[in-house]
Formats: sequence, structure tokens, C-alpha cells
Amino acid sequence: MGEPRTPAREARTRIHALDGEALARAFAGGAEALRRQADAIDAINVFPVPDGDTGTNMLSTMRAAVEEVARADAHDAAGVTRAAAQGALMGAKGNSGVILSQILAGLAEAAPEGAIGGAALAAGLAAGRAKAYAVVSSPREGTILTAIASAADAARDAAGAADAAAEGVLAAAVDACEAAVARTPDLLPVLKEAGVVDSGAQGLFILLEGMLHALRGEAQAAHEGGFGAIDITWLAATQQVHAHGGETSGYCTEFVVAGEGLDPDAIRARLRGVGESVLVIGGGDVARVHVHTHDPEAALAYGRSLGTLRHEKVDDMEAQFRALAARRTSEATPVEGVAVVAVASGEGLQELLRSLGAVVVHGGPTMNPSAGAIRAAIETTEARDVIVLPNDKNIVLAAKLALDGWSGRNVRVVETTSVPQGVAAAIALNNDATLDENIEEMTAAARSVRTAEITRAARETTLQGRAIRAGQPIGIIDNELRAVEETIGDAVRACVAAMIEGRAGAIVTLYAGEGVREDEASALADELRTAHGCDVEVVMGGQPHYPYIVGVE
Amino acid sequence: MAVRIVTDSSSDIPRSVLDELGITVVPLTISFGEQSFRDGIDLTADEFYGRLASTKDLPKTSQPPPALFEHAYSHLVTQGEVVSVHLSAKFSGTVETARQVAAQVAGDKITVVDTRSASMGSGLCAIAAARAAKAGGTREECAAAAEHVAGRLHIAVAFETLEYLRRGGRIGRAQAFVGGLLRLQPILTVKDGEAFPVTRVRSRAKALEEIALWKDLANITDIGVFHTTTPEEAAALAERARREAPQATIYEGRFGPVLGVHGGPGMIGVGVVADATA
Repeated sequence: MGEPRTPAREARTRIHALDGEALARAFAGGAEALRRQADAIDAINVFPVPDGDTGTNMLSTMRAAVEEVARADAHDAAGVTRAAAQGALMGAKGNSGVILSQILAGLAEAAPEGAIGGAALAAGLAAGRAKAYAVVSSPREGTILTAIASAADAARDAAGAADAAAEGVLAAAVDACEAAVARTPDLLPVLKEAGVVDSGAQGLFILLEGMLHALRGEAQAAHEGGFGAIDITWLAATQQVHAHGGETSGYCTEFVVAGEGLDPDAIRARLRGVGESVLVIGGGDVARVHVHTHDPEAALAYGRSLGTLRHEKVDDMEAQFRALAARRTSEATPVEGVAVVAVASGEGLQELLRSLGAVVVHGGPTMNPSAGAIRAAIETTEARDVIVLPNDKNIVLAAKLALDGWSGRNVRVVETTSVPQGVAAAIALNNDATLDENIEEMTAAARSVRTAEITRAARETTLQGRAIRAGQPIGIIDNELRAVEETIGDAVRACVAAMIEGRAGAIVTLYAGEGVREDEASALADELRTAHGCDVEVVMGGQPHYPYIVGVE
Repeated sequence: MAVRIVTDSSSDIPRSVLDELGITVVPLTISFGEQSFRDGIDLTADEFYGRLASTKDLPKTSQPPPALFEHAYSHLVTQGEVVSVHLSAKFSGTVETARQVAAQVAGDKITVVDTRSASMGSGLCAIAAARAAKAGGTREECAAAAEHVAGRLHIAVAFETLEYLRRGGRIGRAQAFVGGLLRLQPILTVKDGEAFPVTRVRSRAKALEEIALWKDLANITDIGVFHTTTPEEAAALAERARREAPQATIYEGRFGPVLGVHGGPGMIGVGVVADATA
């Protein structure tokens, strides 16, 4: 399970109660542990496609929590846990990040003002479990939910003895969590088949264990490969850029690229053609990159040409700037009508959604936007009623988190889980109808669409009894693997044939991804039109990772 | 003496119905550049859509010259009282001109009705007034019949494009439906004299399904099915209406130039006189 076992964990119970300082140290230690393990956690995502990036998302969420604690300047347990919960809430990325934010919210709820003793810690974990289950619409066992439930139960038992020490309660929770992680393959067959444990459960274990290590003052494992040095220099450098950079539009785009013989000067020179405020640190095997650009896809595509990308982050600076400006001028009366905020990556998809009247949040699979980014986009709309379209199953919860606390506005989510669903919902928008009418129409429109996502398997795996090679073209229909083919074109053909069956008068939309030529897409559309006698439209979506996304309605 | 019913050419009432009910029509004017035509008299719908497809500058429509109202009213008041039924004042100055001329000619014998609708919508109102007149109704009863229908009108119109509406400057709230990278069929309605966007759909089949309004209405008395350039579609839709709402009187017709200039080719619409269901 990644970390070497520390025998000390079972034995000592020295720290009785956690004050603000101890909690801040624990949260920072947990975030640090996640940072070291994020790639390993990402790698056990069972879905054989570039998916939610559980480790990266949990790390990003925990970092936001730690940053907020530093900013809040709180000293007691209640203040620190509240700041952590607030930071996590705004920074929550992906489903696992959202669930993590709820666990921290539970801790904050149970925290007394001075210090957290064993009983309060157990109560906090129990509250966190309740919140985590509540935020997921159909909870599945064998996931991070099972892990927090086991941790909470063990904490309750350990705290049973009056006056139990917090450290002992946390140690019991860590052990139970580890055992729960080991059980996840028995609870979720898809994990067993792929020979992995659940990534979110593993992430929670790493976090809790990291917190325990930090509390005990035990040394964290050494930073590998000089990466830690990059991290510290990085924070200072980007802060300077943001303090002095003049850009108020475009996207603040960051990523870490792992490759071979990376030349920072060459990367810098190339990125100056893409945008401003270019920062490149590192080189050789790993480099960290920052650029402000109007074309984040171009920057990311260039990064991918250099190696494997991690920690991709794209923030819409204009939205942030406008949100900031709006808060300053403040209390502007929201306008009548319904606005739509939609998440999408790929310039073509973004333009399409904008043309349908939506405000676009940059993000998608592998680049889940935070709840804060979605909130910023909602703020730019000025409409009284706002509907959010997450367009990815891993973004639904972050979108829901962005709903709370609006005064004088109604913000709701129509739970679209794919681009074609989001487009169908956006098309159904009627500015003159009420919010409820729109939600009904848009939900029905989204449900009437079937989606196929065509991509290449991220790694060798076995899924639903089929052996899949790394890089093999696969087709996923409504989140179920349905085609394993030799070419991308064949995967599209197989999926369209499967989806169109029994649907007379269907309209097929091919959203062509990054790197697909327009003439290729048109030829494929012509062929499908002839083969099925249906209406086929092509949109040059430009989305990364998926050469084609196909909608049938 | 039976009450006489007047309407304007934008009501698009089929010739046979006009003849049967004895409705008098005052024509609006259609201009292609320097050339002007009296709607339905000097220019048929077929000729109009033929020219529309080949012209670069959009033709203009203008309300009837007051002299045409004066001519119609002066003649008719010698036979009895008049109810004059017209398209929404928000779309055209026609109804206002009718009021002014009516007041000059014989204010106490002519009632002017603003249907707050257009084309088949105001046409159905005029037809209701004419039926009341035929049944021996008074001027007040005929006007009330038109108003009653105006209050029970349900309209949905599908467009191939909103380009004509936009170029003609009548886009209004439907502006939100303009543009987009996908081929979309916008559906609009007319409410309180104005065009409102209803929805957009991805295919013609869905658009036709969307405008088959009678499915969701109660106490249906009349249905109009109108088109600009797609008679087969309109015939099929009317046939379906006959099947699904057998109690209703079905009017099949064609949008004339006044509506056609804003809707363009491929516009098809349904008007239903009925009660909304809860």
C-alpha cells in the first residue's frame, strides 16, 4: 500500500488533544503524503482511459485546504478545521475531492474551540462519513466511502473509553482505513478484475496516515528526484507573476511534464509563441510549466508532445477577474432570465457551447475544474437563475458544491455526464421559460441522448472479460466498454451501429477531437450516413484524449 | 342585415373560406425594390416565394394605404355594421390605421379588433367573427367571438432559419436562438402580440413533433396548419391533426408574403383554438 508500515503506529498514544497548531501540521503532513503518492494513486484508476485522476484531485483539494488554513491565521481547533473545510470546499476537484471536502466539513462541525480530543475526533469522522454519503447520489461500497465508514467506526470504538487520546483514535482510524482499502476489490468486481484497490480509498488512507506521521513528528519519506525543490521555488515564482502580470483575460495554464532531456530554454521559447508570463522550472526528466494564454489547449498539446503531463490546471483569468470586479462593485442586481454555465475542454466544443448561449468553464476528463472555478463562472453570468452543466460524471459533485450560499440567485445543476448530453441540454434552454421548466426540458433533452467516447486504453488491462492492450482503440457507450477495435474508425463504426439500433430518424453528431483532421471526420460522417441512412453532423471539437465523442439522439 | 367582417391580407385565410364566409380582405403592400404589389392581388404566394429565393435585398411589407380601408368601410357600412379583425399592433400599424379610418367613416358602426396575433392566428379570429355573423350575431357578439378565440390561441412555428427574421429586424427575444454551429430548428410562438422563443431541436422530424400542439390541449375547436414552401409536410401534419383531433375544424393554408418575408422558406406552423390543460 505504498507506505512502509510503522510499528510505532499501533503502540504509542501520547498526543491527547489536537490544538490548532497540531491540526495545521497534520493537514500539511497529509497533503505532503498525498503529493508524494498522487501519481501512484492516479495509476490505479481502474477505468482504462485517462479519467478523473483521483490522486491529483485529492491532492489539489487538500492543498486548497492547507492554503486556506495558512491564510485564515486561525489558532484554535475550530478555526483551523473550519478554514480547512472552506478551502477544500472551494478547491474540491473530482468526485474524490468533493467527498474529501465533506469529510473535512464533518471534522469542522464537531470541532470544539480549543483542541480536539479523541471523542471529538471520532464525532468529526462520523459527521464526515454522513456528509460524504449524503453528497453522492448513489453511494457504492468498495470506494472511498467504505474507507471513511470503516475509519469512523474504528475511531468510535477507540474513543469509547472515556478520555481517549486523539492520537490513538486517529491511529485506529488509519488501521481500519488500510484494512478497508484492502477489502475494496472484494466489494467492487471491476477492481478485482483489474487487480487494483480503489484509488479514492487509497488516497484517504494515504492522507490519514500522513496526518498521523506529521502529528508524531515522524520523518516523511525523502523527496524523490529534486521535485520538492521545484515545488518551493515554484510557489514563489508564480506568486510573483500573478502579483505583477497585467493579463486579465485568457487562461492561467499550469502543468508538470515528465519526459526525457527536457530543455527549459527551448520550452520557454516555444511557449512565448503561445502566451505571456511564461515560467519554466526544472528540466531533464521533469519540468514545471506556467503560461497565461488564450489557447490553453495549444499549451497542453505542446506539453503532451514533450512527455506525460501531471497536475494540469487551467483557470479562466477573465472569469476570475470579472468575479473579483463584480464583488468589488458588488450588489449588482441579478438580471432576469436563465443563464447556463457549462464545463468543456477543446476550443471547438467551447465555441459550440458559447454559441448556444453558455458561459464556459475550462475542464473535462483529466482536468476537473474546482468548485471554486465553477462558482467564479456562475458569478460572471449576472443572471438570477443559473443552470450548471458539468458534462462529465467526475465533475457533477464539484458542480453541486458550487450551488450553496448564493443570495438572491437560484443555482441548479442538470446532471449531464457527457459532452453530447451537455449540448442537448444547452440547446433546450429557453430564456423565457422558468427555471423549473428549463430544468425539466434540459434534463429530458440530456436523457434522450446516448454517448460514445472513443479513446485509446491508457494501459494494458482486462475489462468485462476482454484483454485490452495499452494504446488500443476502445469505445465506451454510456460509461460501459462496448468496443475494442484495431482502429479509431472501427471503434466509432461499432459504437454508432450499437447506439443507432432501433432509433429511426436518429441524428448522429461526431465531435472530432484534437489531432483529427476535418477531411477524416467528414469522410467518416459520409460513410456513416450511407451505412445507416441517418443524419450525421460533424463538430470539430478539439477535445484532448478522445479522438471522437459521438452523440446519438 | 348581417354584420360584415373585414380583415387584412396578412390573416392568410384560404380563398375558399373567404368566399364561403363572405369576408372582405384589405391588402398590405409588398415591395421588391422599386416594385410594389398588393398582397394576394398583384402577387400570389407562389410568385412571392419564387422571387424571395432569388432576391438579394429582402422585400418590404407595409400596412395598407388608408384609402383601401376607407374604400372597404364606406362600401360595407351601407349594407350594415362592420367588425374589422387585424394582426397585432406590435407587428404592424395596420390595426391603428383601421381604427383611425373607422372613426372617420362611421365610428358607431365599426368595431376594430387587435388579435395580438398574426397570420393563421388572426385568421382564426376573423373566421370566428364571420361564423358569428353568419349565425345572426350582433356587432358586439361578432367582435366578442374574435376576442374569445384570440384568448384561446396556441401557436407554434418551426423555422429552417432565423436569418430572415433577423435581417428584417423583427428578431426580438428570439435573438437568443440565432447563430450556433449546429443546424438547429428554432420553434417560436406568438404571445400577447409578440414572438417568443420556445425551444430548438436538432431535426425537422422533431420540429414537426414539437409543433403538433393539439396533443397537449383540451376542448379543441379549430386547427390551422400553415407553411411557406413545404406543402407535403403541411398536408401530412393536417392529416395527423384530423386523426388525432377529429372534433376540430382543420384549416390548411399557406403563409402569405407578410409572414413569409420574416420566416423564409421552410417555415411551418400550427395554430390551435383550445383550452390549455392544467
